[in-house]
Amino acid sequence: MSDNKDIEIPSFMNNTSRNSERSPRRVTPQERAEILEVDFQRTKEQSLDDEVIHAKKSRKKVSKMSQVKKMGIAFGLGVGVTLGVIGILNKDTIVEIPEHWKERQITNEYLSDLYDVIHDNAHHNSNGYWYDTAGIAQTFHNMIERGVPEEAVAYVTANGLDYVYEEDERDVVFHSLFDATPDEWAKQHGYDSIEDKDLKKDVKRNIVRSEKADEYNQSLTSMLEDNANQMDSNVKGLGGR
Amino acid sequence: MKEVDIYTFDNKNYVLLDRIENYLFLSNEKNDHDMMIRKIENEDEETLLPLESDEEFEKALLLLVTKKLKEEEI
Repeated sequence: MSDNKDIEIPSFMNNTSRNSERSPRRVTPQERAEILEVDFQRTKEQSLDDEVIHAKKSRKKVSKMSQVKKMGIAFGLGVGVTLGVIGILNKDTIVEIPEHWKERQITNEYLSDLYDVIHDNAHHNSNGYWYDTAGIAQTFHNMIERGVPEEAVAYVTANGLDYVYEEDERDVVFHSLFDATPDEWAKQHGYDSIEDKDLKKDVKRNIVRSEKADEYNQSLTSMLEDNANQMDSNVKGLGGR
Repeated sequence: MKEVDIYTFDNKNYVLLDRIENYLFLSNEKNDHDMMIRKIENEDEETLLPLESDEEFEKALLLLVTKKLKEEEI
């Protein structure tokens, strides 16, 4: 069987909108925990289901980030069970994992939406895949205007288009956005090159810091609203309107 | 784009996320939340056996966690 014949278009490519206005989605810690719990139970049930599965194995091209996203969820599942199975790991590891997992989840979720811009602008025809670089650059430009860090966009562009045959598209997007090559942009921002590991670290650190600040602001806003509602109800209770 | 192993059954494609020992970590290509862990024996890669117990499920997940943690260089 040929590896690449009759390949279906990956699901992430079904949405081919060229100017997505999507911004990074924020999942609350509670939502994250609920998703994890549901995924965990479902995975467990399917793994233990008595039925022997007879499958057909093949190879296929898929999105790299799609793979990473799934790995992230699977990783979360692993942590979920780890926390539930005290004794398998030693105490130090158990204490250390949750915060790291949370940060990893936050980063993956944030970057996933940026990678999706590339995927949404990837198209398939009889000659293979091609990218709508103008669509990618325009959407990223809009995101930067709305406050998405330039470093995160540069990092995702460089990593989402990092195969040799994607270099031209990567350079076009960089020139459209920053009027520089990837390495020129990196040097302008204090990095040795676009592959400098410090860039990856900075991007992740800034995402975590920003998301945690947002969570704090949301909880503060919620607390102030609760207080305002309480005062309002107290006033009404005293005969106010 | 990257080439990965796909297991097709029940008219669905599952991406092989990872293989550790004889455990396969699979995720539905079109639904990130549809995942399972199966195992193979005697290198028969098209016969996916169920895990036998909660303990085996936990063991397999722990293998994945440990591997990912090492890759992340914690």
